[in-house]
Amino acid sequence: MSFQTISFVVKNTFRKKLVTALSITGIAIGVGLMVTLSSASAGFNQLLDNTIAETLGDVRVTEYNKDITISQLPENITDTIMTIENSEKIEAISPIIYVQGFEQFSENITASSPHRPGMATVALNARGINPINDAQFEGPTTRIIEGRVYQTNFEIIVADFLTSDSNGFFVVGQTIDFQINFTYAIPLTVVGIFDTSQDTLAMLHPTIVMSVATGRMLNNLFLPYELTGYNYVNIRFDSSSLETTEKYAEELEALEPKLQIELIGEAMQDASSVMQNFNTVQIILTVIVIVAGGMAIIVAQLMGVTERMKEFAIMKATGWKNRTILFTIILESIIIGLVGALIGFGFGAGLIFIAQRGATETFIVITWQIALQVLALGIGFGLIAGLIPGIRAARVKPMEVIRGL
Amino acid sequence: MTEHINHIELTKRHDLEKYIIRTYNLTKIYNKGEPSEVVALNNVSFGIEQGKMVSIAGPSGSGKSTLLNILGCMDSATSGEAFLKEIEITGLSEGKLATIRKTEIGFVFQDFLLIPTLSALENVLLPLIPDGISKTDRERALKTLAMVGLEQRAKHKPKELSGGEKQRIAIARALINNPSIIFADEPTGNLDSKNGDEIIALLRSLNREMGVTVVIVSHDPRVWEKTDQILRLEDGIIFVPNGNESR
Ligand SMILES: Nc1ncnc2c1ncn2[C@@H]1O[C@H](COP(=O)(O)OP(=O)(O)OP(=O)(O)O)[C@@H](O)[C@H]1O
Ligand SMILES: [Mg+2]
Repeated sequence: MSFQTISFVVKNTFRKKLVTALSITGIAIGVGLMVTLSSASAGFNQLLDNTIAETLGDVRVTEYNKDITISQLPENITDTIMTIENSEKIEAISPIIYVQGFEQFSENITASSPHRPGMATVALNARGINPINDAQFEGPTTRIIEGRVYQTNFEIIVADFLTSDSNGFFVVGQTIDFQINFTYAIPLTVVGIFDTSQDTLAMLHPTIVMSVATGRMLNNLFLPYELTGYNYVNIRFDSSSLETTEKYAEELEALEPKLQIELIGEAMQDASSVMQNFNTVQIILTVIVIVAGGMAIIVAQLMGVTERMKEFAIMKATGWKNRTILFTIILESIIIGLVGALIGFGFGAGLIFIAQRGATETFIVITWQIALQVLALGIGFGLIAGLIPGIRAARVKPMEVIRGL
Repeated sequence: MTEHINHIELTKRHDLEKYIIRTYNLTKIYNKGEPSEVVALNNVSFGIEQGKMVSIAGPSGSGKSTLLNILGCMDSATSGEAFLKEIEITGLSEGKLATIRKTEIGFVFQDFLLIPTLSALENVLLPLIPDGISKTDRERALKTLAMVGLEQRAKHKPKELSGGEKQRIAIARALINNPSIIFADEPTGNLDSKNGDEIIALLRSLNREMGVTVVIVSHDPRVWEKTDQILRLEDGIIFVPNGNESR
């Protein structure tokens, strides 16, 4: 195939400017949508994979058959847990107080994270945690970006996104009147802000953290009974698979008091299966894009070919081979398909860029697979859609066209 | 083949090579076996001598274009044989016919059939596009344009050219592969008489200077006058000069 054939084809591709532009636009919109969706799902998949990997060894124990809010574990629960055979596999352990009343307190206060725009808003949820234990998990107390960690009673630290300009409920030094059952208020002072930008699970993590003593005290004001121990314990095993974690966790079942054991990684995997549905939607969308895009090219090309029958006739009369004519039409379609796909790719990438503007962590990713898919789509469009018009053009009987049949 | 020989009025076995075209009982039936059956060519046997300029006359529907298309390797015959030089073109594959069209034949049509997006020069080069165009090809095309008197119009698009100029470009396109024969189907049909005369004169001079055989289908007696021989078709039957019917 000569260079002149290719430049001849390029010229022909863009001679019906409006029709070509329209079919390119059609493909671009489809491909753009597809790129956006694929990138979003690829990003979420990656995020989930990372998160699952991070949480593979994580286990949460509560009192057997009790909800986290009412679960009561004794004060020496960590010592009990450390008696298991594989205790040397425990990398980190942190007994935690679930602090009551903040959901109510925050009824009118919800905030969305600037790091993850578009993700669900969060309610305030508070925990009492010992900074020494928290450090083992590199938790909030290790990520103070303003102020300091709580030291005395009635001091709290809050997640950064609760203090961002747009939400701005809390500032360091501020004192909040925390209502107890609408009867009296306890003053709490914000002493620090912790960073959540690197925390992929920030939405699930506490937004307000205080000392164990403060947490207990607030709960005891709230609840009709006295709480001396903890609500739950986070344990991190040195494990790189759910199976191993499960094996270690089984040892916890033999302990007294009886414990409710939850593998965090398992819960994450359930969440990721939801992504499978999303992937199916995406495949369906891709098929629709291919069919619609193919149609756009076929229609445009059929129109063009019908109009140019006399040209194909004269080309054949001067000795052009059928396959050369077929090739030129397919190449025209491939050009339309590729240009459309590339514009669509740019359009999708632009959308993604806009959506993620200002976010410190990007969770929509254009993978090289997506780029490759776009390229293949463009070429595929052309090949398939160019075939029918191409065969029509190649089969033209010169004298019939010239005669005007 | 021998049994057809005597059908050709002028032909004796020893001077066959002087004919660039020979046909033996060439027959074309459209829609054969259907109610709409048309016998467009009926056992046509004749020869065209190498280097001649010949016109084909005859009423509308007599089969002139049909004959030209078969001889020009664009259509197949229903029966009979046709030879271009020593090649039997009846019964060749599509691909082989395309090759012969490219190397041996030039076409000129009534409505020029130039490609509107290409310049005059590019239109002349059209037959060469699939194989690639070299610098010498380009120079040859410019020379050919000069031969038809349009070297100044090389860069013009067809819509910027007059009818006569367009037909000259078409003739240059027909010449680009140095064909041994040019078939022109009513080349003056869309032109006024002045431009028509000029086109015929151009074909005549190309025929004289390059030795290319020219076959012109025309209704116009002014065209017939300028040719070496006038063949007449009537209802698919050919009549060759000096009163001899081919059958
Ligand atoms: N593709 C076809 N299918 C059916 N009949 C056809 C076809 N092509 C030509 N014919 C018929 O064959 C006969 C000869 O047609 P042809 O075009 O060769 O005539 P012509 O001598 O060139 O006429 P004109 O001077 O009008 O161009 C006509 O009756 C025509 O209707
Ligand atoms: Mg005709």
